[in-house]
Amino acid sequence: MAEAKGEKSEVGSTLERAAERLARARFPLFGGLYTDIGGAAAAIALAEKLGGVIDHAASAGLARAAKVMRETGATPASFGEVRNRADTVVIIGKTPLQRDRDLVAKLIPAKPGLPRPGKNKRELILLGAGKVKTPGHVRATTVDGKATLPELIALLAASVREGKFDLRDKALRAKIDAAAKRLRDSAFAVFVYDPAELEEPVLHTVLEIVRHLVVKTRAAILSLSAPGNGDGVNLCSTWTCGLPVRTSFAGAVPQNNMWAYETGRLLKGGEVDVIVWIDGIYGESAARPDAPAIILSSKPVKSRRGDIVIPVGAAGGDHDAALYLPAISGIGMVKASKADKKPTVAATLTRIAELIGTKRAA
Amino acid sequence: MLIQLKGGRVIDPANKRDEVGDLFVENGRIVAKPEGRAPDEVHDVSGKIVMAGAIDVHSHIAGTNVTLGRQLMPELPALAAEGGQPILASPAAWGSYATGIRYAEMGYTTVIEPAMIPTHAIEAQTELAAIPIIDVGALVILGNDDYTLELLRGGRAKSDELKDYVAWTLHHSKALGLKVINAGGSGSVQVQRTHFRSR
Repeated sequence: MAEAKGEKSEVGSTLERAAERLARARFPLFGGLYTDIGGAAAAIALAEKLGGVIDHAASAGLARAAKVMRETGATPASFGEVRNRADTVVIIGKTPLQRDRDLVAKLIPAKPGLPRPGKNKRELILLGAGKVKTPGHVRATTVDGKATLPELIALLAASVREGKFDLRDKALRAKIDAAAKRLRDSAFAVFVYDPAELEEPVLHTVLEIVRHLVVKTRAAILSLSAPGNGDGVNLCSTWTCGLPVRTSFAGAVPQNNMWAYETGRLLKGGEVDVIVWIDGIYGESAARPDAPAIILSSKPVKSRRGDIVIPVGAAGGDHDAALYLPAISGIGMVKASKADKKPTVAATLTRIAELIGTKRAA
Repeated sequence: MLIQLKGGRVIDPANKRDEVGDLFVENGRIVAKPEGRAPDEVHDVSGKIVMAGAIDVHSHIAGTNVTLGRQLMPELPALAAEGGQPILASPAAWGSYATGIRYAEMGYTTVIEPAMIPTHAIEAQTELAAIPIIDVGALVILGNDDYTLELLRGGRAKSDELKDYVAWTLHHSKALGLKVINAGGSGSVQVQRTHFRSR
């Protein structure tokens, strides 16, 4: 693996210490997992070898979205399909635009794309998204008020179904009803949200709206991908061991449990004895756990007592990387923006695995 | 190195052979029984079938459709184990590792994933690369995308533009071949609908 000149023995010694700690581990956690597909594959392989557990720092939304889809089904649309075909885009909540300020321009570009169904002009509905500045070419309607986000969604669901309900806020009622009518008149309406922002019952309500609309027209959801290559890591886990993240390899067969193998709960309960925290993606950061850990990071780390810190290259920054790309709703290659010889997460974990193997053989 | 597969039922339809006998392999190739030489390795395969590796040209072994299916059913391995279905004694019992092992156990040496989405080719190819033992490949889906349909509708079905697009897609997705779904697009669906209505 690549090492900076003059640091070879120091890095080697750090890896030795990490291997020693992991070789003694009874139930290690491979968390954070802000890494590329190669890094994820290496982490999963090491977790399998040691009987540990894997989770991603942004798995809350992933787990929730998957659970809801599992329970009731859903009609997801790809990013490109929304950009090209949707005549009504509903952005739900504040998080989507906080995560990507250019999201509206990406979803509703100024230049027309491919042929769209229907004759409606494109319209953006901002539901509980707060005050947002939208590009000049976008026709936007804001649906907001004193109601909470779950209430707004429930009201919209009721209005879309043309059900009876009372609302003292007449101005909000008018906005809700207008949005509902627009949705019913849409040729292809898409609801955009971050599943980490919406609780399960609220997600179900959104899907109920979609189910109601698709009886007469076309509608879909665009559930935003998790940060830190969360969707990529999740896919890699799924094809490698058959299960998504929050999976334990401690038993005879891998076991997935969204509650039991969640990082926060595992740390709070003191169930894991060694933490490997991986934070190696360019431009993103996974906050380190409040406990001693073996930290693989592409950023400067303020070391605490008991930490073993291993510098790694940033995926997509220091080295080329396979990462989940929202624009293609799939995994693509990202070229390095600069050349750095820091080792990758994959190379580092593979070397640690080799050192553990040597120790066990001795 | 000379290897003898001894006492198996040798099935070789091309040479009209179906009999219990021996097969010799030297340096990776099947050879006639060498006279006056003792094999370096002898494997007793009596009670087993000796045949050319089977090829499955259509099996969804990788790609977004497969991974989504796995994500939607995380309880499947446990349910299968309870139901007596064979689960490999490996932590990776339900993923690409198991795919390779199971196909090899069934006598397959090559399996083709028949529905690789062009934009998800990296994902499918990465997953295929994680499948051990067997040879793998994929067919890339082409024909129901906007660009192809635009060319077809514009009367450019035989144009160099379409040929270039096909070649470009094959090259960049590293596909073994094409899978064409609903060739001609919605127009052909319309024809079918009319056809069924008239019956």
